[in-house]
Amino acid sequence: MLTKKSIAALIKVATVGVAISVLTACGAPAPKTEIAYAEATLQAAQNADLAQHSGVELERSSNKLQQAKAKMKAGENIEALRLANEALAVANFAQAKSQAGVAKTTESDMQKSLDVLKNQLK
Amino acid sequence: MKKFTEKKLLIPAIILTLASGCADLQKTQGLLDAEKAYARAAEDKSVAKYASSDLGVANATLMRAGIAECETEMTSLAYIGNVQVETAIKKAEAQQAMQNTKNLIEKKEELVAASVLAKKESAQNQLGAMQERTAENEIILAFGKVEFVTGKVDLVPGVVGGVDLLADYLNANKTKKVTLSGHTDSTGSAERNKELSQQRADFIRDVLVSKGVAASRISSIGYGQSQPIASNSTREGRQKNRRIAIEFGR
Repeated sequence: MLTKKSIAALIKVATVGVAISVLTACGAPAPKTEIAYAEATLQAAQNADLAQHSGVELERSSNKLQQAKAKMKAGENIEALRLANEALAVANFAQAKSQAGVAKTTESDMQKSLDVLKNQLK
Repeated sequence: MKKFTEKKLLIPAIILTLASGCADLQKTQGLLDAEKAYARAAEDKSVAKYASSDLGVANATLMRAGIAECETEMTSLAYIGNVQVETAIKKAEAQQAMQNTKNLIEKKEELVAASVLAKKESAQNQLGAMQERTAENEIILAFGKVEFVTGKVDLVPGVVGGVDLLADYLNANKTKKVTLSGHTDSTGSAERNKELSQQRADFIRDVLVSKGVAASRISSIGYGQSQPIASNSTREGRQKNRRIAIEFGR
């Protein structure tokens, strides 16, 4: 039979437990999937950057990914998730930057080729 | 009872305040900057055309950043949102460059096609001109055999081939014009010869008209004995001088 006192004590314990959970987020799962996805995206971006347009961004993404792994290992899963998401965003940016670089080079080459043709036809 | 309730609610109230204390978080400078970058990109026509969905992703991230519960989360989401804006811009740049390249390729193909056509036309024109010259030379050569009876307008029978060739040629080439120049040898008076040469040239003109050539395309002039091409002292020379010279024009 629970007394008023024991009920009050139970509520206190439960509330403190929930609060600690909320504040420390110790219940967050390890972001293994997010890290794996970011890693795969980074790998694809590295493979696509043949013309080396995005060296700085690829390195930044790689660093964030390493930090994310270290945080996950240390059990800091929320921070690990944030870093993984940042690494993913930077890897996507690196890939887009590489594609833009290649596309601009192709455009420039085509413009030169057209100019040469125009001169030949004069 | 009242005292117990207050005491019971005191700890949760403090904890809830701590937990939700970030709800009224002010936007960080990073988020404000990212929002400005987003606004600039949203005004870019190229981004709107080629990377609107990417920009939409960035917008969603920045909205999440705006309602983040703590600064660390806000900072991270602002960073990601900013990178996503930059990604949208780069994707738009890539698409724009690819479109530009496509346009340049089309322009190049048009130039090549125009050049090939021009060369073909030039070759055809050269061939046409050559064929024209050949046909005209043939007619001029045939006209060299046209003979008139001395002192008369009548053609010597059997040598009318040149006139027929000329009529066919003029009928086939409607833009062509011809000048017929009548000449005589020195037999008889110069005045009579001039009159005779004019009559001979007019005679050929009339033959051409009778074969369907418009008179407006034919000029006929009599030069008499003034422009001999051979000696009038021999029979062969006088025969050469009795002639109709032709000249083509447009």
